[in-house]
Amino acid sequence: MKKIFAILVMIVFVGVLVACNQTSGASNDNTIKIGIIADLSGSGSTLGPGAVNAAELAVEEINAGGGVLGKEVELITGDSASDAKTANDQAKTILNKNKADALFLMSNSANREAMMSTVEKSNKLFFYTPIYEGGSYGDNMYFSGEVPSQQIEPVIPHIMETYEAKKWFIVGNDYVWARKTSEILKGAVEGNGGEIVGEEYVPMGTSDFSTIISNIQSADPDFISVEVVGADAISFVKQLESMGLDKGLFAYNVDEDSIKAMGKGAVGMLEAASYFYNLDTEANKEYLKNYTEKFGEDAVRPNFVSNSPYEPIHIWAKAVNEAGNLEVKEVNEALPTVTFSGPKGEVSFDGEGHHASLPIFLGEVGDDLEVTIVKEFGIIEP
Amino acid sequence: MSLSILSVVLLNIVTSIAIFFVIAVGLAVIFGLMDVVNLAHGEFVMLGAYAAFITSQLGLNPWLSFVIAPVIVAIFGLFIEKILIRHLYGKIMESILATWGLGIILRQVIELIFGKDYKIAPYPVEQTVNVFGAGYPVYRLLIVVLALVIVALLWYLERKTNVGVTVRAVIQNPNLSSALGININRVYSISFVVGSALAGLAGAIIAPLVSVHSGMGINYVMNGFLTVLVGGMGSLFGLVGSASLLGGSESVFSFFFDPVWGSIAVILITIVFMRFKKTSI
Repeated sequence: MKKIFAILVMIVFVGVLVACNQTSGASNDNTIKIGIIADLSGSGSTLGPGAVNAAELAVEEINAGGGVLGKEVELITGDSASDAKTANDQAKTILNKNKADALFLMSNSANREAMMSTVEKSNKLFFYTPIYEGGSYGDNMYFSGEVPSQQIEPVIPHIMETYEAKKWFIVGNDYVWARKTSEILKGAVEGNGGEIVGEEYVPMGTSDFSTIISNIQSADPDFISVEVVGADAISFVKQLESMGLDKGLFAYNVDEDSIKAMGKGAVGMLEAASYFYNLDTEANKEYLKNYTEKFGEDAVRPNFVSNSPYEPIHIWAKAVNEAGNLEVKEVNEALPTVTFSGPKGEVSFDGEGHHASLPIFLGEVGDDLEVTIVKEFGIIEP
Repeated sequence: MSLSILSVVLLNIVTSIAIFFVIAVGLAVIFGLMDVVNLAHGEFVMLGAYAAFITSQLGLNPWLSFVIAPVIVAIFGLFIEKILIRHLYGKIMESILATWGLGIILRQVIELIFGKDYKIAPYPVEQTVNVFGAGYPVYRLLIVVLALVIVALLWYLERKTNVGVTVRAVIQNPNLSSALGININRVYSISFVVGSALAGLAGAIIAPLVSVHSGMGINYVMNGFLTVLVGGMGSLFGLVGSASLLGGSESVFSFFFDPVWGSIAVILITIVFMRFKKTSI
């Protein structure tokens, strides 16, 4: 009896594993397939569902407008499970088995690195959509998220002047994005006559910031550059507030749901990004209306990270139509020539580094924990 | 360094030690007594933090979370002991695997029920006290008081009550205790429930300091486990000592060098200790 039970458990377990590995979507010759991989489960899953929503909405709009090359676009969704190996397995399934023509990734840099060789071997187009640290990659790879120079170079002179922020303190997680961001921030602050009075990097998953906060107290900066991410950022801002420190905060990578969780410690925080939910433009209102119609009132609110797949999918579709076929070489040539205007404004790729020119806004967190846009910097090149 | 900063740093060290202790004590009770390593301990802490979140959602006084969280997690612990832990007494490897799996299930179930976003639990006290000119949150001092209360209660329970005598007898010699008519399964069951309640209390205590989410337990199980390894097996004051050593050196290293060195210090000290200490692992 025990043995039978054990075998049954094994079968169920294997069944679950197999089911987890399958990606949704049936094959059909009359469609053009694209894939999106996002963190639908695991540590990144606060952002994954919104990313899939944005992709679904983009594909629906493309199909409503006649599709690509007269065919319907079919979206294949993969869950990275916030894990590098799973992300790579999903990329293999989508590119090699489902034969998708383009892959969009909304996940962290570690998961992107894990699937690089899969993507290169497949010789398909690859779009990495969220904010990231910058850098150069292969010919078929495109990056549509904010890079540090876009969030810092136009914005820092403005903050330093408007908020009289001369002395800066950096607090970040100890990984590549924060280090790269600090490097560019230092150049911008020092180039404008300010100084960096301290910098601290904590391991991912840090929950007690008391010693860091003591260091900040003794350095007495005007502004803190918040380069901690996810749950760590929330703990940091909450503890900063409980210690009674009233310093200016500038963030790059804190989504609007995290701001809500930070509570009143986040009030007054500034953030530079290419999109905010409260962006007061006709295009954004139209976008949010469509979004709510499709996904309901209770759907996750789009933010600048989770909504990032929306524009590159549209740009890809326009470029394929421009090229007239799906040949990677010709789509590559067409991609820098198209511009897409969506909820954030105009987005286009440059021909050399394959990074996106994006509109950059400065948002400020109000007493109701909603972000209002206090300054527009226009389209900023990467 | 000014006097105010120095005193804040010292208070930070004391509160960090208290947090280390509060997290580790539930794990130590279970491990010391039953030789069961509860790797789902972090998730038990997470359940306690969610209990604190629910308490505030229901509009109840946040102070009540210090009662509600341990009770809820204790009841859950009782259930888990009956269906899972009971079969793992004394089997360290099996208990590690089974409780690791339990942790994964708990994370996913909580994610299904409460969603993936970060939750907040409010501070029961928001005031700060003046320490030589610098403000220091009362709540962090409260954590130290709570840690001391836990030490006192456990000490009283272990040394001054019949339950304590029975428990010590079972730790020394389970077979002989059983032969003398002590129901050792009942003792194990009680200690697992007490360990779970302490994990739940730890969750309620740290919840206001951090963001409550399903994956938060991972951050705590590691340090808790190291604290137990260094000093806590079966000895309450050994645990206080190891929490002071690890929590203290983490704070000191983070302040004077770098937080990464703080984390490294915790692991290095543990390795050195394990090398020169005779243990079953």
